[in-house]
Amino acid sequence: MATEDQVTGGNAGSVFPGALDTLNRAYDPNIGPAVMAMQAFYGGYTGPSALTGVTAQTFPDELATSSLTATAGTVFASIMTLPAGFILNNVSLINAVTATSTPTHQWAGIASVATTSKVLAVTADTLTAVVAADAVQTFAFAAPYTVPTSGQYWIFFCIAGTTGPTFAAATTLGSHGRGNVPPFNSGPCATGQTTVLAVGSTFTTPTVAAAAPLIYLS
Amino acid sequence: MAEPFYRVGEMRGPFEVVSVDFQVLPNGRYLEVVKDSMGNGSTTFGRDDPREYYCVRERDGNLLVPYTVRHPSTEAGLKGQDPSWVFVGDSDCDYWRVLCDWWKPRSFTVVEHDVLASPEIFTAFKECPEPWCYFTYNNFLPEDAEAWHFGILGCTRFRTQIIKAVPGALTDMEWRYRDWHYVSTGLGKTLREHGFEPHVHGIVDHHRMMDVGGVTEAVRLAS
Repeated sequence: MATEDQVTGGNAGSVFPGALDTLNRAYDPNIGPAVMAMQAFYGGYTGPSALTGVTAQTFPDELATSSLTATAGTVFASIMTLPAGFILNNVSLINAVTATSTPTHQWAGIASVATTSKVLAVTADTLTAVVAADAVQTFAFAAPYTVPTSGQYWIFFCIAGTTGPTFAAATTLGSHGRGNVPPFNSGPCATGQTTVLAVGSTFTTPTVAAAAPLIYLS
Repeated sequence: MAEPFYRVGEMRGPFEVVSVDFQVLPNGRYLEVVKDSMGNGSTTFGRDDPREYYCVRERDGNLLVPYTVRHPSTEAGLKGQDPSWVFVGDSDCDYWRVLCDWWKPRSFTVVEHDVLASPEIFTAFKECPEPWCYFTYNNFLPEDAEAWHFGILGCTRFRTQIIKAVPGALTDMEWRYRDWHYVSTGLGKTLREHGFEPHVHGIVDHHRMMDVGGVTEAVRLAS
């Protein structure tokens, strides 16, 4: 029987397996209030009103106090932890002060985190589509992608053109310390890209840290 | 006055726009929510910024080089010419304002600040009788060049004939295209609607100031 400080919802304490979960932790019924307390503390998992059905994001909105200058044609990737069965329809980012100049290719996708990472799914290429500054930009997958196993994944995007945009982002990790220790949670990958990466192809992962873009999945 | 950038039925890249929700907010900003047939979209919190014409600088030549930062490669490509370097970095609409003044019935060439021209290019422009000529960018794939066929200004020459035929191409430009990001798109759209198609000569070095990290970084370094 749940005590007053435990989860008391319909699923609380009854259907969770005793095995280790994706965070390598066994279920603890007290985690419910703890998570709720964290949510109240951070408060920032709100997302822009323009987006509906956001199911994951890289970090709380309030921490997007900086910006990432997305060099045109460079793939940028961020690690996100996703559970098995997670359905990915869209990848969204927020353009900051700079819009893309003469866009030619724009796309996003998901890749595995492995010794040799592979591209798992990609969005359509929106080519020359105009996206202004201060805009929420959403890339849609042609078909929903279902995450096969719980774990870490690279969420990536690329904007090719004359000059890339800036995106709302967290501050860059320092060149010493965590920002200089792999894996680099967010950073630039392959450069000089244009067309959409092929599903199944090897995904070049970041070798340096950059400002982590605020990415929403829905 | 702010207006939506996209209209239902227009193309947004390769996909058709299926919905546009636009409203000007009480704080003077505007909200534009666009979705295309693929499910891609954008929600813009823009500013109803002033985009009226005023003179930035009178036309004073036949070779316009609009710039926000001067790059040695661009300067090298203009040796032996008589370029008019015009700073357009004070406002996102200054490039359009300058073009309004240059769109007078006298041929002129535009070489943007991140393009390396050459004497051969100017010779080609001089000798070709076509009203609207340009060199496409060396960083474009063939499909990119096709997609931007009507919207390239980086190394372009307009003859008197086309300026006379569409005298209001710049001054009557819609609000949405007056920002420098879109002015070439707006101009190309208008000229196309008047029956013109540009003549492609070849490829020009669109160096994009990548040796210093791109135009944005070059501007930052210069400031």
